[in-house]
Amino acid sequence: MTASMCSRSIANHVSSRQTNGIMTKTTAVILLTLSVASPFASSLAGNSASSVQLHGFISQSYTRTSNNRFFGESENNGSFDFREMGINISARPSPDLQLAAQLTSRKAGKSDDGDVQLDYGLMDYSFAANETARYGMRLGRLKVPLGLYNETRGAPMTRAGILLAQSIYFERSRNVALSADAGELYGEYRGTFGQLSAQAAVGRPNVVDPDIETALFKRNQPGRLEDDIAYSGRIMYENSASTLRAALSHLRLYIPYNAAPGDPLGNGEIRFIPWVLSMQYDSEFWTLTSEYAIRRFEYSQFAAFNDFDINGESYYIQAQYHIAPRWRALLRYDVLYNDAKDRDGHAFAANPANRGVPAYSQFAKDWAIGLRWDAHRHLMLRAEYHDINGTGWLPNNDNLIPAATQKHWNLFLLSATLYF
Amino acid sequence: MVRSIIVLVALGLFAVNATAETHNKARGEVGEVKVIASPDTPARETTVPQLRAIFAMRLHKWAGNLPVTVYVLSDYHPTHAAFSKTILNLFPYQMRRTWNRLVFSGTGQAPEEVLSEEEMVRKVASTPGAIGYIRRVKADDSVHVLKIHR
Repeated sequence: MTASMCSRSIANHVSSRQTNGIMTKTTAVILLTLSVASPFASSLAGNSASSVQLHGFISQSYTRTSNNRFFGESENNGSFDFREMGINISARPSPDLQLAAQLTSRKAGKSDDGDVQLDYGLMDYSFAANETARYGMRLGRLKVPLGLYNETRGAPMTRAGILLAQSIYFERSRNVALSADAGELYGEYRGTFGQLSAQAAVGRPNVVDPDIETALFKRNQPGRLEDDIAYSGRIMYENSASTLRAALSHLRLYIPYNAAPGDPLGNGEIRFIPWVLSMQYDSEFWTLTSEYAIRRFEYSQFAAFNDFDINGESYYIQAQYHIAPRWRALLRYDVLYNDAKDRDGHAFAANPANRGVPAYSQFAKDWAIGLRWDAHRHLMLRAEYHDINGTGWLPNNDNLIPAATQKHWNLFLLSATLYF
Repeated sequence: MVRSIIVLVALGLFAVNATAETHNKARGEVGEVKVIASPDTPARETTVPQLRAIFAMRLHKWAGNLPVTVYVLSDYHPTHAAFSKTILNLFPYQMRRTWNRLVFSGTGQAPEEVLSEEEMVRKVASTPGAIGYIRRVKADDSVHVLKIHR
């Protein structure tokens, strides 16, 4: 009941703001979905206790950089061009079956336009579930389980900072490994040794991303990258005290390139094959996290060049200090190398084909500190500061001329997130 | 300049907040946490692994297929902290992380949140298959107190 009243007032708010032309169409769509869905949800909830749930978030961030652009024109006065919204609904028609869907919208400089997307929409069925084991399957649009954060990275409350470690969770070309139309099998087993879980999926991810071409080819190409089959999997161990977890995740993504007429590149295929090793330790006051990734790219069958492979390497070490129940501090050191055999990028810059693209675009070393305040059960406020050497994960579309970027740069962010 | 102001404001808010949390903690130190269930649940006793599975939202039904409905207090309620630490041996932030992961990946649901222990007793008593916990308030005949085998 309260949910529906609340949503009605939001709907009124939307229509009055819209007439002023302030609210974007996208915001309206998400908020209206919320206003339509929540009375529906609460009426269903009235029948069967808590089987229908509605959750969502709205987040606005401010980014300011010393130089280089991050999510809009972040130099000088800073940018408010980073906005995230999401709304999800879930239902359990029976204890073994869950249906769930989430709509998200993300505006992030020139990397994301704020269009509403179906982030996930799935059914999850457990064949067997008791206190020691659970086995089941999921079908539909599923989140890709890569590392510890990928599945929920769209929701700001679930992230370790305003930004996740960029070496593994790129903001640019993030859509590539976000979700996939797939089928997945999962299993969990608990014993005195702790808990072991595994999941494996086959499906078709969404490769269409404004940054993907420049990320894979250094510049926009006349042809088109297509979606193709992908495989993903993760195994995770958690000790019996639930203080330590370790995971290994893997993804095999096939991305065909369809050449345009007269395109010198010719048809070809790129395979993206990352492995991520993750460790996390929890204590009352500290959460320590580290992840290491090898990101393998295989380019084959192109007319313009011989087949070749590149192994990118990423890792970070992150400490979260739980100062008080509502306060958390963050310290992180994050490193990215585009090519593990050319860590300083000198070989890359010496190649005439890469003229105008600096060596420092091939790595990034980022020290970050941050503070999180959960001011209210529905409001999270954050501040974060990054000291960065290299532009390895700088969004290309916000920085169209690589030679105009600076090697050393600072990034300051503030964010406010409302959620329920 | 702007940065130092932000840092100072944040530190000030932190000091006020930390004091408030300490007060809450001091006020909450009464009695032992009891796990309560609605009268129609088949369970009269439970184990820590079973409670962990239920409150992690991984175990969705009681024996006999009755759906489980989980009630919790807010993350910052002293009784929630006591329940998490002394019964489940988990920190409240770990539980919230687990629930967030389920909700925002579409693979599960969060527990229902109540505002007070009185509301907890009322909701658990009136919802089929419900489970929750209390500390300050006494359990009456409307709910069962589950015996926990450790």
